[in-house]
Amino acid sequence: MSPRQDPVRAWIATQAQTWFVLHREGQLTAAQRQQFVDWLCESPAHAQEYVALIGFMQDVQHVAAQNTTDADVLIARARAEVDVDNVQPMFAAVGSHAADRSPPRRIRTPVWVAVAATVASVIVLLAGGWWFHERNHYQTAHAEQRSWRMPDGSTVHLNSSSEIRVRYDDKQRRVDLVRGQALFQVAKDAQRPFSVYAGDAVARAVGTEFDVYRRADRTLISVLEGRVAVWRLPDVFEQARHAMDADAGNSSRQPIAHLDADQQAMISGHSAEVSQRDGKVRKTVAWLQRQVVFDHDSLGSAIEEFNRYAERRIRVEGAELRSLQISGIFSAYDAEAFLRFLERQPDIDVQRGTEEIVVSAAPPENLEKRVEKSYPNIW
Amino acid sequence: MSDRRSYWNRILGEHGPGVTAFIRRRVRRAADASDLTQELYLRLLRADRAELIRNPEAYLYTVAVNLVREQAVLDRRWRHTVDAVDPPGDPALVDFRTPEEQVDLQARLAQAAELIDELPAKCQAVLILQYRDGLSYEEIASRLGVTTHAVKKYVVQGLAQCRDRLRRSKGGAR
Repeated sequence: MSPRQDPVRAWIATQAQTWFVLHREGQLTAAQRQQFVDWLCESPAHAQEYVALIGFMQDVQHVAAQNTTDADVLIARARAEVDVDNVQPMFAAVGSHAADRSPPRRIRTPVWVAVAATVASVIVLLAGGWWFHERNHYQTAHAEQRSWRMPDGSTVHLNSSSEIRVRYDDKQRRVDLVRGQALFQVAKDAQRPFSVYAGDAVARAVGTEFDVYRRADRTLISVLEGRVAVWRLPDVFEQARHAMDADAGNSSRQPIAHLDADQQAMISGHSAEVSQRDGKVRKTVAWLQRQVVFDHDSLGSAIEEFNRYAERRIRVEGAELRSLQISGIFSAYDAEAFLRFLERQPDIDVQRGTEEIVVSAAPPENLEKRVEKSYPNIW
Repeated sequence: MSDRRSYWNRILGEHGPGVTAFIRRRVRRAADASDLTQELYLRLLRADRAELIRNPEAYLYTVAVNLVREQAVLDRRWRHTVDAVDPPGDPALVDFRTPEEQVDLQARLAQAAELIDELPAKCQAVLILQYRDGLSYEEIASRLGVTTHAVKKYVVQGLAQCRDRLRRSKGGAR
């Protein structure tokens, strides 16, 4: 098996497993069934993987049914187990959120944690008077996605080349998105709002699910579930000065926007724009499924998305070609499939170098040859 | 939910072993496997879409079962000639096949048992409570004190681990 194929195969397998699990949960919605059929019909490998998975699960079912361990023992062991930090969930984009509405169960902070936090704060004060109790740093490499469970039960999914710093104290939960993109599933805690700082933007929630994508010049905040308040950073600085010791959640300062599910806000140094367009949020969080979704996007920005994951950089030549509109759903890790799609376009040429891949406009005289090349069976 | 479950158990009980054995046996040979996959896929594409969307999983399964029946005849006819050939494994196929062409049920189940044993306790608990005790994900979630979302994640993670292990053992045997 070539190493190039491996992540794609693993990705297909994860999709199959996700669908399988969703099926075992209960009746899928019509939209989900449609999505599942689309997935099955997308490639023979998908149908094959799913049938093979069914076969394997028959064995699992058989073995599980013969297990003699007491249910209470199983549960006790499961509860005692420390969470693995590298989960690869894909439900945010595929699954129905309705099933997950039950609030995450927050167990009250045990005494030893409180003691540890106090000790930590003393150490931190000694170290330089800094004000938070817990500080953590998480990052992903190029083409890597990871997820972590935070101490409060919230989950953070980091996209490729992303970095966050997490600071919790008893007044607030603060995350700084240093670069890249992160999706947050926030455990409810009315006492400690959850704030994400990214560039010029701050998004604050109590318990919800939202995505923050920090780009060089702007930050995009997308809400999947619940409600998120958004500030532009200068406001928050001012606010912080006003209410240094006060509860960070009860500020007199008004946020520039409140976002509900399926809404997005684009924040830059000069402007803030709130929009609600069908499918936009779904598109923004497609990365969780390791997909990229284009909907009349320019080829330039599409390639920029692929370059977040690709091993070899892809470059598009010419302003006209860069502004060409692209629509479709692609695997984020299969730039090759996207390039083959481009190659099939009669007026686009793809040159694969060792250092980079160049996409350019094909010379018009080659059109016939290109059609022949792209569709060998057509004649 | 219970209707669905019993439906599933019935269809597995009736056709399950046949389909599993068939797929495991067939995918061993690259050409046969891609034929089978291709045929399965073509039948999906040709299917009446409304019908397919009504219950896609059952539809897919029924198509696979029909393929078993049809191919069983061919398989009997061709067994002697085809089995003499030992083509290389097919890297393009991903599945839970085992390295041996004819792995008997006991060996296969022993392997599955071993894989389940190696799973994280959370995933183990979910699979056993689900398949042995018939609990729903929701019920399991409340017993474990986590969200159903988390329960589903444990299963997907666990299956991914099983798949990795199976692939590695297959690679080692080759």
